Amino acid sequence: MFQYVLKRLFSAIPVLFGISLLLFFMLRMLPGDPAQVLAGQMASPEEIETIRQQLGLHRPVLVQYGLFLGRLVRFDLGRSARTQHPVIQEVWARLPNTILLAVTAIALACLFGIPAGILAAIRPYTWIDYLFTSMALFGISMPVFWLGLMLIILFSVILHWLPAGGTGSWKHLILPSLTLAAFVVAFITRMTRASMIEALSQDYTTTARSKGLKEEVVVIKHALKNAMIPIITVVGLQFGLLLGGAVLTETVFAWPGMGRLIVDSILARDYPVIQGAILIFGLLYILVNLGVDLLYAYLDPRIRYD
Amino acid sequence: MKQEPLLSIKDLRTRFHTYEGVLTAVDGIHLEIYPGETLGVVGESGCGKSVTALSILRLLASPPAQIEGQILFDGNDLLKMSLDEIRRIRGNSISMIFQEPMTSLNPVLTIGEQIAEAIRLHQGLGREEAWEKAVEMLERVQIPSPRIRAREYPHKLSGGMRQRAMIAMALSCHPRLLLADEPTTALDVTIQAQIVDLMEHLKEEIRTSILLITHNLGLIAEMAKRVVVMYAGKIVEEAPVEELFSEPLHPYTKGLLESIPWMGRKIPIPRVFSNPFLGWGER
Amino acid sequence: MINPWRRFKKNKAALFGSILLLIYLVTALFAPLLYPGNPSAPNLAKALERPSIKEPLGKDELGRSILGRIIYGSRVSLLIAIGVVCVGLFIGVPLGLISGYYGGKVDFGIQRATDTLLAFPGFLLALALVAVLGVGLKNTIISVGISMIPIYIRLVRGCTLSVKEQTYVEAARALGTRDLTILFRHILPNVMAPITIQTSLGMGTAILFAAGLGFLGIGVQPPTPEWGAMLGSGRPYLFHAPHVATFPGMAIFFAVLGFNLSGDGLRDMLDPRFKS
Repeated sequence: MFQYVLKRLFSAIPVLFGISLLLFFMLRMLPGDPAQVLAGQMASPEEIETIRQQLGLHRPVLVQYGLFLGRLVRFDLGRSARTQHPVIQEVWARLPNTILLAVTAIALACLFGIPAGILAAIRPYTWIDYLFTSMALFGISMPVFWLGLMLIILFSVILHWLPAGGTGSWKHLILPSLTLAAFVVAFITRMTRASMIEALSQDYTTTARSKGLKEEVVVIKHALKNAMIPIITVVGLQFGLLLGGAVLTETVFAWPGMGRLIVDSILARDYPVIQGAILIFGLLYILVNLGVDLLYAYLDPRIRYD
Repeated sequence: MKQEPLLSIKDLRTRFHTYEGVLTAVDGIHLEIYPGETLGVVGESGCGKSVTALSILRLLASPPAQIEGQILFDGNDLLKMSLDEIRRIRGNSISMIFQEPMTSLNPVLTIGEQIAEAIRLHQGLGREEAWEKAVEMLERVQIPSPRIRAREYPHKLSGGMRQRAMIAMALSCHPRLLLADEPTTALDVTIQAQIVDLMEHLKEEIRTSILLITHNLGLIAEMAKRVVVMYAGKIVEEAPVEELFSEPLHPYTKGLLESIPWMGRKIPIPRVFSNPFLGWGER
Repeated sequence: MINPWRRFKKNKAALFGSILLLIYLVTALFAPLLYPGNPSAPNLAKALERPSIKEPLGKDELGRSILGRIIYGSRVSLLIAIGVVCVGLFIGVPLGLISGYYGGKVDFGIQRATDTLLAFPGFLLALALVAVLGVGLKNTIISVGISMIPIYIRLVRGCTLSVKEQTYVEAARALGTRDLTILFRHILPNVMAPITIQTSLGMGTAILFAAGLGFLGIGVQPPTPEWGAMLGSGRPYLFHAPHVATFPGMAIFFAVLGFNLSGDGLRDMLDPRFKS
């Protein structure tokens, strides 16, 4: 197990490097002077010059990259070209909101998706199965932002039950997290169903039944425990996808999270923030994947005890 | 006085409904097992022997499978019982062990737990007592350090030990009938011998009958008292074991016996190619 | 062994999906026939008109026919779907083949690069690329296409790794066949099945991503009729003219559904396991 953990941590390192490289070159691929780009439209010549010194634009590329890495490690992501606040501050203010949204959405999705998948698996090819599988397919095919808008029309415009956007109360959380969850629940249902069908067709399921165990015990204690392993992996991956989907949902519901931040920054050409936000997203995703890998190792005794 | 059979199968027919039609795996067989005996069921792959065992315990998924006939156990027809009633019999009065110990044990549960859960269910014991019994069973199947082993997961055990664990699991509630589906096929030859010994030993101790399903005639010769030969879903011959080997009646049985290679026998090898390089390089 | 086509036909969902796709294709190809006239011509007098018999889907904020724009929009989205998949295929497949077949340092390098790209959820990557490359139809295709490349690389590499162990590949090598020939004659055909499935699903994803970018205003730019952008511009009018946002979204939904159902049907069809 220890080896496994180490290996996983190790493989994250090149990816981190890759991301930093990506960001480094992203800036330099833009037309125009990188310093100007970072400083923004409204910067004074002195400010631009300061940034130019910081970046070391007159020095060799490798040195620039080194400086860049140095800044990254200190979490110095520069200043927003729009608000002049440190990027870290902007990100930090919004990150909790996005995480709240994502966690709520994943929880909802698992709450619906896993039982649905189990039910579909124990009665395959029946109306229950078709119902849940179709619902799942619909969920994947629906554009997240459209679903959000439709929900707003239904619950805000027509029914006046829920607010259309912004934050403030738990009521504000419902629609955005439902929207996000709808997309993810599809994957979770499908994965659960496939994984359970696989587990239920294994020899050990027959053995369990041959001992006279009740069907519920066979399904939950014997099959589900095995099926959980790939399911958890998918849930983790979906959490990552959610971070990407959050961009659209946050825009639709005016939710003050990282997603909105990125979109606003792209529209305003606020590159320091774009850079910072992408970095944080990437880091988050890697962390989540790492977490899932570790959880996977913990759940599977074959890995845990070797 | 003639003994009453423990299990009596009458005209068992097991069919599978598939996309491409109906597959008849067991086509009307009659079978009886008496208390304390080992009945061998022999035949090639696909002849329906495993399906027969699975039909007895109704372990086949019933939409594709359709089972007809009568299986009498203790005067009750197993095929007419409710699922709840069958579950009380499974693991309790009738148990089964399977061919592949690797895949037949649940990888995420400890050995001890897999044995104890049947004990808790059928004998109503509490957690600790059931665990003790499980450890005891592991000892009886001659697994060294049974207390430690009970806490381990299946992947830590060797093939032979896993099969022993399966036997422990199946015999934990002292069943009257053990269905053994190819119990030694997946094991090394040396281990096979050990398992056979173990099964004989336990059979005496616990007094169970064994329905031994195998394609291995050597195993039949060693363990079975009576033998039944199956082919294409039907029983083609039935005889006490010595008679089967010395005087096989059915041509298929004869063929089976002929196909065992043994020392000193000269078998002509048909010549396929006189010149192995003939035909090479021709398109 | 059941004929795979028969299996596909028996799968009602896949059939439904194929019908949806057919409608989609026909709409895209025959757009001018279905809606004569210029759908992008503004007519402010009739802005935000509700659906009526003459205009079944109503008019948008510039008075343009929503039905017309959806019909022409199908061309745009089809173009995007094909473009994106081409980018993914033509770059991803060769890289995957090379990575899987040669292994070693080449494999390592390609895999690390792929990992980096995959460190971002797909849409985010496309978003980031658009931030660098700029907006518009071409850049949308490139950005979404690039985000699709790592998926193909992974898929093809995985398949290549298993196929290359097969004896017929060994045999071909023993006969002295050139690597390139082996790759294209022996390995590639056996990787085609998962590639096809991925392509079908990928086209649906491409439309979704492009629509997402369009919705945010950083994808295809007006006046080109792109479904996502249409949704986006309909957003301010959600409360009193909801039809502007509703119908383009339905179009996206049905198109993507068609691709997903067909892709799933293909996957079931090509699954070697026998379904009973």
